[in-house]
Order: sequence, then structure tokens, then C-alpha cells
Amino acid sequence: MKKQFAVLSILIIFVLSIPVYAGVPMTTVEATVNRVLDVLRAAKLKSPAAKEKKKEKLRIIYKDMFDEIEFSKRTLTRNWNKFSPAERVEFVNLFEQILEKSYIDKILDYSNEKVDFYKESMLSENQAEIQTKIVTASKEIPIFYRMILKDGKWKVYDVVVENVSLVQNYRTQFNDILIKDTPEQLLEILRKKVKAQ
Amino acid sequence: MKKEILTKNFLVVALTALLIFTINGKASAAGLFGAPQTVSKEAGGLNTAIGYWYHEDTYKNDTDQIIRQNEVYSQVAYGAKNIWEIYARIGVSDMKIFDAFSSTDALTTTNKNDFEENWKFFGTLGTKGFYPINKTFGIGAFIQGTYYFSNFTDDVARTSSGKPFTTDLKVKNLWDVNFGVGFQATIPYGIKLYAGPYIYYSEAKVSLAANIPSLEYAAGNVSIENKSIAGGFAGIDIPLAKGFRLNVECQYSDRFSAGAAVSYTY
Amino acid sequence: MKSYLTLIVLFIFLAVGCAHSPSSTVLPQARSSPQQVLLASNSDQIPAKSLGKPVGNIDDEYKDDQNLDYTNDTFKEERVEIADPLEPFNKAMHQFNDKLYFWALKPVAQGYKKVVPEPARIGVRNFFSNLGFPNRFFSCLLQTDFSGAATEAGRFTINTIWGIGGLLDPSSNKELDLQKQDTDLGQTLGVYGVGQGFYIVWPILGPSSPRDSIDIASDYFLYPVSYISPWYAGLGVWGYEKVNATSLRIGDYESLKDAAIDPYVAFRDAYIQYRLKKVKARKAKLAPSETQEVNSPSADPVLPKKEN
Repeated sequence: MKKQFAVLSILIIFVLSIPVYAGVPMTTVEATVNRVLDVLRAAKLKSPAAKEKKKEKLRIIYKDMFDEIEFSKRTLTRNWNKFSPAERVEFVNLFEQILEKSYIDKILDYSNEKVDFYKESMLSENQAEIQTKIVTASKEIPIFYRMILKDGKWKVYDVVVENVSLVQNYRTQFNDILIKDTPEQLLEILRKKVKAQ
Repeated sequence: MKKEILTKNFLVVALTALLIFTINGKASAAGLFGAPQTVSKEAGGLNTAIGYWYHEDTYKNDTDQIIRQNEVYSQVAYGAKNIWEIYARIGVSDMKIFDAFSSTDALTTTNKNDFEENWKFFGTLGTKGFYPINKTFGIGAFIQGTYYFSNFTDDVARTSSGKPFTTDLKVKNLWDVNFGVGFQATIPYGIKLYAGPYIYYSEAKVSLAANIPSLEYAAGNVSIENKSIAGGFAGIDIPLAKGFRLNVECQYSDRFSAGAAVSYTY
Repeated sequence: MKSYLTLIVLFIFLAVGCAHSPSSTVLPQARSSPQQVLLASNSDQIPAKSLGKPVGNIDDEYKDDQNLDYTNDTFKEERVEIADPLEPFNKAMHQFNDKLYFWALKPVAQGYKKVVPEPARIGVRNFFSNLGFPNRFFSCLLQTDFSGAATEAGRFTINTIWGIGGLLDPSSNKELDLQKQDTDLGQTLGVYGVGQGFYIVWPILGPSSPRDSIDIASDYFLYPVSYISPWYAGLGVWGYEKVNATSLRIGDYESLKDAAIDPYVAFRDAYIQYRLKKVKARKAKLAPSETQEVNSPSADPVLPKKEN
């Protein structure tokens, strides 16, 4: 039914001469999330040994969906300029690793809940917000994906969970650190954290 | 001398009171029986309800004594397959027995005639089964029992030949069990009509205590049982909006009782 | 601990999305999803992943000339900051609460979770949530949100009478659709323009601010459990409620803490964002013509709109 809506909205778009890609953000997110859920629920990957395999599959899917550069840039904002190109590369790497190690186990436990995609809003010409929520037996968790259109493709640059924007949250943390420390020191903190995890 | 007369009067009074309760037939049928078919969803689910029941009954003696009860209860039930259901209720009820304390003897005066007591808790358990004959008709049976957790007490101040004394009447361990068979017809819009006969049995312990100043305290106990008494019931169960249903029912066994409940199906 | 801690299994999505293990060089080739076909461009996607890529590509992506304050964005992420003059005290309290969670609350909640099945714990949570009716009801009234107040009244009636005293929550069903109005007096003050003030971390109670502390205090008076006498019985019930609530959310606090570079700042920021968004949502509800989002007509399909 969602696909029909997407098609219908695209048709309406043509009629109203609005940019063609309205409607695509929602379907992009939906398709990706469903692929993730498929991996999580795959019966043959249930054994603990298959965990690594699952992680690999998930990574492949998410590389598509997320724009790590955009995400990382937005957490550093002006501080991005303080980093040399090599430092920037390392920053993006480390940041990704930290997030993965923090949450991968949790997501692997997660397979039975329903994900409900219920709203798509265009925030600007090339930005959209998709509202979804996870429905479990005991709670409902609203999760919004903020997407940006780059080179014709919609990618996620921020995830807002229960009204808390991830980009915002890390931005505050990094900013606090970079007020007193150099980029290299921040990288050192991140390296230590990755090791500790 | 005086003492003997008083005692004798007391005994008369006491016996009279007890006699009333010996034939106290139709004590409380606690509430609606409900439609023979469960209102829970087919896959199995809960339903809850809140109900009000007005109960009136007579028992025959030399004089007719009428009892009246108002009951309010909350019910939780579980049913499945549109066939069976078990339910439990907890509620409160009052009790009024008209002319329980009237004196039959000119020497005794009393300050009030009726036994009256307010809300006492009771619990009910029941189960029902249903057999659909075709899309419209079906037949079901149920069994339901009620037990009162507290006693109904009332006292009265009396004088006998001018001498004051008080009498306490207690109705204890009141319980009943009902068994009935119902026929049900489902008409359009999901409305169910049902009717059928039922039989029931009720029992209570009645104790009487009289406090006669300057005399010893006298008390008497009697256990009342009934023969199986039968009656008939009929009702209608109507779906309202959004999972709610209205059930109205009446029962008749010597006197007319009726009530209504609103249920919600999960 | 406020409900924002009911985190976020889906931080995960982000995590996995940005996930990258330095050793896997398979990834660049593995991208074979159909959407890729649309992109001929090579400057896109994750140059970070492949350290082997030519330097030129990396530079493209990491160009300086982009506006890093993102002031070009027509949609602005709201800057949420809060003054923190009591930082040493707050940090100490944060540490205390952290230890309290790991040493006391979590073990008890885990033991409780093992013994009591989830539906029962959800029932208990519903029961206490039902008791929170006065606070939500009056908050709605004070915000002149009369439909919300009516919804709350309806919820309370239905859940108490037909929901076995509040253990069940039929009002939230799709049929009845009376959603909980998740508001409190702190948000009421926020709707009327009272700012957060500054950040305070209370021991046991968690992150707060002067405005929200007023809420904590008045909530005490509006919450029936507070009136249980003797005082230690009421406190016991309150404690039980917290244990029960935690048992349904074990893991959320740890996730956020684990993913944070600086946990204290992370929680502070999360708290502020959470409260701010809630107040904004309430304001938007009361004045629907002023919604922040610009909806293009075609992109707003007729989907069920649920309140957050």
C-alpha cells in the first residue's frame, strides 16, 4: 500500500510540477529498513556464529542508506575546518566504529517488532524527514530519519529518536571537547574508546 | 415474674424473626446472566463489564416479606471461539427486608420495621457454554455462583411491655448458585436476544441476638436452606460503538428483577 | 529518570549505517542495490570506507567551502543549549545516579524481570500511568488544550472501569484511539514561555531544571501514591513503580552511555532536546497553523497521524 502511495504521489507531482523525487525519501527509507529486518529475521542466521555474517550484511545495507560524511560534518560544524584531510578520514572512521560497537548487539536482538512508517515531510527542497515508529509489546519508540538529496540520491544524515537528534547530541559533546582540546586529542579519545569497546 | 414474661416475649419475637428467614427463598441472584454466547472475540480474548442489578423477591409466610437489593459490580471475563466463557465479578450490594422487624404482638413496639443494610462486598464466578445451531439460533447453558464476603447486620430497638431491648439480626455467609439454559437468536446488527429457564439454590445463616438489659444476653442461630427454586430470564445484548455492548436483562421468579451492564470486548 | 531514557534501539540503525570495519574492503564492490544504478557519480558514498581511493576523491568530499554552520539549510536544526552553572555539582550527582543505577536499581530490576512476566509488568505500568491522570488532566487544562483534557478524562474512565482498574489500557487501541496526552506542568510552563533556566541533576530523580523541578514538586501533590500513609508505605510504592518501569527498559541507559563520548554532556543534551521538542509539540498542537514543517502536498499521504 505504501508503494501505491509512492506511485500516486509521483503522479500527482507531475501534475503539480513539483520536483520529481518527492515520495522517494519515504520509499528509500522503507525499503532499507525492510531489508534490515529481513536480515535480522533470517532463520538461517540465527546461530551465534552467524552474528558476524549478519553484521556484514547489515553494513552493506546501511552504507547505502546513510551519508556518514554529511553526518560527521554536521556533528563538528565549524570544527570540521580544524581537521586535516587525513584527520577527517580518521574521524569518520572512528565515529562509525564507536556507534557500531555500541549498538550492533542491540539491533541483533531486535527482530519481532513492527516498524510503522507513517509520515513524510519535505523540510526544504532537498531535505526530508521520515517519521517512523517501532511498536513493541511494551512501548512505542518514535524514530525520525532526516534525509538529504545529494547527487540524485536520498541519504540519511540524522536520526532523531524520541525527540533527541543524534547529530545534535554528538555536536554538543564534540564541541565541548574541542573547546579545550585539539582535533588530535579528540581523535585520541575516540581511539581509546574504540579500543575499550 | 417480669423476667419470665420478658423472656417469653423475647422468644416469641425471636422466633418470629427467624421464621421469616426460614422461608427466605430467593436470596440474591447476583446479577445478570448475560447472553449465552460470549462476547469475546473468536480468537480468544478478555471482556470487561460494569453492571447494575435490581433484585426483588418475595417469600411467603403468613405475611409476604419482600426483599430488595441493589447491586453494582465489575466483571472480568475470558472467552474464546464464540463458544465458551468464564467470568468473575466483584461487586457491592445492599439489602432491605421489608417488615422484618414488625412485631406480631401488640405488646412489642419497634422503632422501625425494615431490615436495611448498606453495601457489602460479594464475588461471583461463572462459566457458560454455547452451541450454535445455525447462523441465527443457538442454545447455551451457564452456571454461576455468588458469595457474600461480609454479613448484613441490622438492629432495632424495641420495647416489650414497656421494657426496652435491642435486637440484632445478622445474615451471614449468604451464597447462591444458579444454573440455567438459554436460547439465543441473533438478529441483524449483531443484536442478540435470549431467554430461558433457570434454577437456583441459596443459603444463609441467620443469627438473632437480643440484648435485654438486666437479663442475660440471648442469641439464636438458624441455617436456612432452600428447595430448588426455578425462574425464567430474558434479555437483549446490543453492540454499541467501538467495542462496547449494552446488555439488558430481567429475571422472574415470584418477583421481577432487572438490570443492565455495559461491556467492552478486547 | 525521565522517559527519554527509554531509548533507542534504533540508534542502532544509525550505528550500523555508519558501521565500518577497517578490515573489510569488500564493501565498495558489494554495493549493488538498485538505487545505485541511478548514480554514476563517484564522488558520493563513503570515501572514508576505502582508504585505498585516490586522494582526489577524498578531497572532493571533505571540501572546506561548504557552509559548515549549515545556515543555508532552510530547515534549521534548533540550537539547544542550556546554561550549566552548577556543573561540578551536576557532574557529581550524575556520577551518583549512575552508580545508583548500576549497583542498586538495575540488579533489583533484573531480578524482578526474571520473576515477573512481561504482560504483568506492563499491567503494573499501566496501572501507575492511569494514576497519573490528575497531572496530565490539569496540565492540559492549563494549556487550554480542552480536547486533550477530554481525552484524558475519557481514558481514565474507560481504563478504570473497563480496564480492570487501570491494569489494561484499552483506550490506546486503534478503535478507541484515545492517546495518552504526554504532558506535565513543566511543559505547561514551557508552553507559556518559561525557559528551562539552567541544568540541575537531582540525586535519584535525575536530570532536571528549575522549571521542570516545579513540575516534580507539583507532581507530588497530584499523584495519588503520595497520599498513602504512612509515608514509608507511599515511598515503597513509588520505589516499586520505578523498579517496574526500569525492568521494561533495561539496556536503554547503558546504550546511550556506551555510545557517548562524554556521557555527562550526552545526557544533558538528550534531556534538553527531549524537553524542548515536547514543548514545541504541545505548542504546535495548540496552534496548528504554525507548524514548523513545510509539507509539500504530494508528500503528505493520508497516513495515520499518531501523536508522539
